Parts: sequence; C-alpha cells; structure tokens
Amino acid sequence: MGWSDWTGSENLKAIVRHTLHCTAAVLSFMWVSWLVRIGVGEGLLKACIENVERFVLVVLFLVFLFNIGYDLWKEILRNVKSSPLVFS
Amino acid sequence: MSNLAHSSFRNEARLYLLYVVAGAAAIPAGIVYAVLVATGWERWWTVVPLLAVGLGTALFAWRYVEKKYLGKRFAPAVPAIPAAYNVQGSAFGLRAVGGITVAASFVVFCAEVPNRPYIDQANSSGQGNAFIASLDVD
Repeated sequence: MGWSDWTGSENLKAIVRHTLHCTAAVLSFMWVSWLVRIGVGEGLLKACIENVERFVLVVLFLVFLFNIGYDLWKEILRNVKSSPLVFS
Repeated sequence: MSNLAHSSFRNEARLYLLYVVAGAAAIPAGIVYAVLVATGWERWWTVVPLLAVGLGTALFAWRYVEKKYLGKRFAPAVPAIPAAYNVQGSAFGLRAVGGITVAASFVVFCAEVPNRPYIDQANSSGQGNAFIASLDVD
C-alpha cells in the first residue's frame, strides 16, 4: 500500500479546500481586527483586540486541523476496510 | 452561470461561512484570554483550558450552523428508508406508516429464526408434536 492509498485524491481536494477557506477566514478576521484597531486608536483596548485576534486565529487553526483529521480518518478507515491486508 | 458552477460556488461559500462562524464563536473565550493577559495571569494552565473551551464552542457552532442552516456535511445519495416509505405513504395520505413499517422491519430482523425444523422427529413425545406424532401411528 502506498501513500495514495491512505490519502486519496478526494482527500487531497478536501485538504486544499480547507486550506483555502481557513486562510480566507483568517485573513477576514485579521482585516476586521485591523479596522477595529484603527477605530479604537492607541491604548489598552487595542492590546486586548490584538490578543482576541491572536486567540481566534489559534482556534481557527485548531478547527482546521480537526477538519483535516476528520476527513483523513474517514478515508483511512475506508482504505483499511478495503485493503488487501483485510481480505487476504 | 451553469447549475453545477452555481452549486460549487455555494459549497465554497458554505465552507468559508462555517470557518467564519467557528472563529466568531471563539471570540468570548478570546475576550477572557485578553483579560487574563491584561491582568498578568497568562500561564499555560489558564491558556490551555481556555483554548479547549474556545475550540469546543467553535466546533459546536460549526455543527449547529451546519445542521440548522446549511444542511448536513455529507448528504446521502439515496434517501433513508423511513423517508422513502413516507414518500410512498404520503401519496395515500398515510404519512405515519413510515415509522411503523421501519419498526416492524426491525422486529423481523431481530426475531430469532429457528435453526431446526418445526417437526422434530427425534422428540415426538413433546406436546407440540403430539398431533404430528399421532399421524405416524397408523
């Protein structure tokens, strides 16, 4: 069994889609945060908004990893079920 | 724009919207994190549970919006059995038949199929086989 048996083209497509949309969402949040920071000006509130943005970006990255793992896990299970090791 | 391209665009927008919803759901935990940082309580044992809470709310919001507003992640190509029965039944005004039919089919599947013939020749003295045994007497 090769690497392609464990991932598959469908999964690669899903990974690309998740990467694109997660990046788009991250950029959107960064843009909104930048706009709010411009409106707020200097001060403690600006630092708080930066920290909220940082936290949200980390959570989005974790959600991205979760979704990738979810899709990969399903594909791996499907391939293991149909693999020659099981049927031999 | 063709139908296929339109549906593809809708799928792409859907995934982007789900990511935005997940990020927005993590904002309350992010505010708590910002307060912790501002008060100097930023430690790993405060940040890691907050991250877990943020991830949990983000995934919950993802699932909620997906099911409530955007439909399921993988729609089945073939309708489920109850749906199929209801579609047939609704033509005759029998919408409630689907559930009953499915329940009955489960009962049939779960019922124990006897592994021996009804006529037990080796046990002719049993009450259940008395009539059959008497046929062999003549």
